[in-house]
Amino acid sequence: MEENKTKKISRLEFLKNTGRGIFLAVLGAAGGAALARSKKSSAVWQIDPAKCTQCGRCATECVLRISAVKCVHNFSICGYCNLCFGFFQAGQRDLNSGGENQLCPTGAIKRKFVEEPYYEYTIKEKLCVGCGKCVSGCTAFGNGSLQLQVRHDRCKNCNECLIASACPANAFVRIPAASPYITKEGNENKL
Amino acid sequence: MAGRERSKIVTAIFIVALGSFAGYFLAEYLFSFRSALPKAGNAGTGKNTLPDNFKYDLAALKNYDPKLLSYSETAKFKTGLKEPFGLAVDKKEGLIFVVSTEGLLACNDKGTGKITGLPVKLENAGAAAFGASGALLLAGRDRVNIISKEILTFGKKGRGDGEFSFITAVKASDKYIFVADAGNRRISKFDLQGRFLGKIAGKAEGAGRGFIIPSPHMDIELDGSGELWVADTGRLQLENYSSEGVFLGAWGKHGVNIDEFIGCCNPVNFVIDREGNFVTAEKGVLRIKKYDRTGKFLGVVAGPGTFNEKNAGIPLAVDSKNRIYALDPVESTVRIFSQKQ
Repeated sequence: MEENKTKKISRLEFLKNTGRGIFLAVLGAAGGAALARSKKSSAVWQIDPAKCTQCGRCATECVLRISAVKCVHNFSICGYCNLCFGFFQAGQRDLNSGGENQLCPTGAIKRKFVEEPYYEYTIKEKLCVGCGKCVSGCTAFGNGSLQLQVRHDRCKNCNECLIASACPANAFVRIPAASPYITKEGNENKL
Repeated sequence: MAGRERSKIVTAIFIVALGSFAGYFLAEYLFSFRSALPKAGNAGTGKNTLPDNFKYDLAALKNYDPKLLSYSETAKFKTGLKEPFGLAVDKKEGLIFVVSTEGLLACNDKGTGKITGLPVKLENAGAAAFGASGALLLAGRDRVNIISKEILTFGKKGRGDGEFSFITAVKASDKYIFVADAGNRRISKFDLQGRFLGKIAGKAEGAGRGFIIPSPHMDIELDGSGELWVADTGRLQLENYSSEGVFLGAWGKHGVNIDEFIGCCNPVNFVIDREGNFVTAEKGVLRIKKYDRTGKFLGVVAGPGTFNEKNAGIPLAVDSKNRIYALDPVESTVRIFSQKQ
């Protein structure tokens, strides 16, 4: 006997299935939209270097004991100066790495000879407390190649960032997490 | 016996290791940067402050003896231009020219005059000066324009002869035009028709002393005898060259005292007055000072705090009455200083 392959469904069952389908489709769309929205609004804190005044509060106001703000170096703007005022104290005795000559109280800047008379300066993040003293020196006297930056490998991205609330220059801004850094290198006058 | 010796050595190594650990942690505690860190539990409470050695005391570098101030400000006026970069005084006509990329202000010493469009298009800031013939020289970053009855333009971007990377100053005698190019770290020499004649101390040639220019500041001037003076900012010196490019001498030393040049790269601007003295402008601690031809410090024209601290340079000029004109680009203001009687 041949089996009847066509299965008849009742009108009620058809409506139920349709309803379930619509419900699932709406649920999926809502989920997708929520995901897209959350991705879009995902933002992180960052310092606008054009507004930063190196007041020192980045070092003291962060919820982390060692601040998530560090000095970073924009090498393309740097003059590789022998007499770097981000590295040396004003009125230094000698142009060498002796502790008494260095500006950074934690010794967080490394000075390396490149070629006469040019030197490269790199930041030892582990030692940097984010006080901005070197940034002040470099900004005032040099090319301004040093800047303070929120490092996102350690920042807790607090909803209400305490440094942002304490910042007197309103230099703390929210930027997309997809591009979480603002550097000076984007708008320098290249030589 | 051998066992006892070994035991002594092991004990000695252990004691030294113990001492090293103790010394390391003691040094970390006593001398490290921990004084700047919030105390445990204080992080984020606003109760922590930075010790004084973590603050940059720029104000301490601005102190100087007021008795050294030998000039006083006699006039100032707003230019009406946005971000002016060039200042030139036509000594014959008594006219002052202030240049921005958008326009040109020609005025008297009270600022009365008018703003016109530039006779040539300047895409970016460069330099302005008057030549001995009375022609106005206007330079963008890689092009020089000689403006008299006709306009003559020369130069293009590049590193070759007669090409420029970042023009910071241009000066002309009755024979030559000299163009300072901070990007290529050299002075290029042209005749009055803009034909390339040679270059001075270009870094690539390895000849001469070579200029050290860490930032886009490299001013030049011609003295009364036609010799060239160059601000070798990385050396914090003014250098003297013959018009043929022969190095003749230099003066200037770095330091924080008022008679020295401060920072990594100064003086950013200078001018030679009618008595042959040098008037210099510095960045960082913005101040204008005066030296004689040998580098002997003569006094202060304008002390720190006179200009907007955001300025990265103060273009200077001198008029026929030997007054010093200083352009404050951030405030868009020309300030005039006269020697005290």
